[in-house]
Amino acid sequence: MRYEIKDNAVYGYAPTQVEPILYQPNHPDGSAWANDDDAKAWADAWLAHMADPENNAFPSSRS
Amino acid sequence: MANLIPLGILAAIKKLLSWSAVSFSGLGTTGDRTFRGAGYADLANAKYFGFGANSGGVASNVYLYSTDAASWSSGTLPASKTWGKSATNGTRLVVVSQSSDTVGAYTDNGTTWTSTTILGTAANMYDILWDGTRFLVVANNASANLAHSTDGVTWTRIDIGDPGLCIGYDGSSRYIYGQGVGAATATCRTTTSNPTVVGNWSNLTMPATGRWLQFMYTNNRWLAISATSTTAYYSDNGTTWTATTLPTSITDDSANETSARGLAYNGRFYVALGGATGNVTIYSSSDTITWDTEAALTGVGTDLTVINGWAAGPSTVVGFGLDDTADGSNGAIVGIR
Repeated sequence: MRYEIKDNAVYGYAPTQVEPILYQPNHPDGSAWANDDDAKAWADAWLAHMADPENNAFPSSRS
Repeated sequence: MANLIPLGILAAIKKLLSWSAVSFSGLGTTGDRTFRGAGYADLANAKYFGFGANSGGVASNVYLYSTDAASWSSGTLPASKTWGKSATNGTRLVVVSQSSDTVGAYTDNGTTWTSTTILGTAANMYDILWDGTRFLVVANNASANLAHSTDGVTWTRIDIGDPGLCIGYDGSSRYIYGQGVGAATATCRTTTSNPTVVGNWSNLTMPATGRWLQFMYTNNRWLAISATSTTAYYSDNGTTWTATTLPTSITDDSANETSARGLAYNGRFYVALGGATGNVTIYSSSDTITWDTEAALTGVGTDLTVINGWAAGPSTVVGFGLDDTADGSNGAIVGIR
């Protein structure tokens, strides 16, 4: 599992398919990424969740 | 000069349905049901159907039906089950048993039913759909988890993955089979070919683990819902998903793996969220991103804690679910366009 940040969006990839399984252009609540670091923090939490299903801490918004 | 629509009217147009509680009080204790599913089929004697168990969740052969979603009657199914989801091919309605079983039932007029053996080994049948060619039934069975039939009478069983929770279809090519019975998973199954061929199915990796309760499709968009989550996922192609925050959490009727079935209807998604008496609200959205409040269920006089099935007619929908007070009067809500 991996991700890329490009064009202000998080793209998440799984070994199971060529196209991304995740396209996240903003926080799930619709608020914009503050910057690439903001997107990266969310993406890191997403990656942690995908690696450990018990880890459900990835935030839906900045707050 | 172009005709301009005042903003107030635009706002009103977004809220498409007016809502009110359905009363089954005229049926006495027969109206006291725990609904696990519903259905609409334009049949001679009945059109709107509510299926489930009795008020204590005990298997029953009673179902409720109506031709107009206003006046209701009770009918008798071939056996006592926890009857659940249903689907129609336009002339026949098939309902499946949600408790461990091999049988379903079908009707061509809405009041006369015939039992049909769907599975070879008893399992909970959690979902059914008609794709234009065949009925597809999903079961939480390790080795025969998808059953198909062109007529609802003769069934073939295949193994397409793990025990299933739901199935969705975009109306033209893509099927998505939801997994996660008992334990959350990021792996579901999908095909854009004949769903009755095992080899046509492949893994669909969702961008989160969950118990995937429903994959709905309308307005050129999929909406995926997993249990006990405030985050749903939408996709325009069925393989790349975007997280979207729901107004509040999905209700998980985990004891019965039915939970919180939403409705894709007339270009909008409808979901009932909240999960506690006095705290359940129906929201709708055309894009899965912006959600409008349709009805707070207490505001229309129901005790519903979850909606497990929808009977969606041409201009009227009836949501059936769990009535917290089991008083027989408030186990369903009707929305009119």
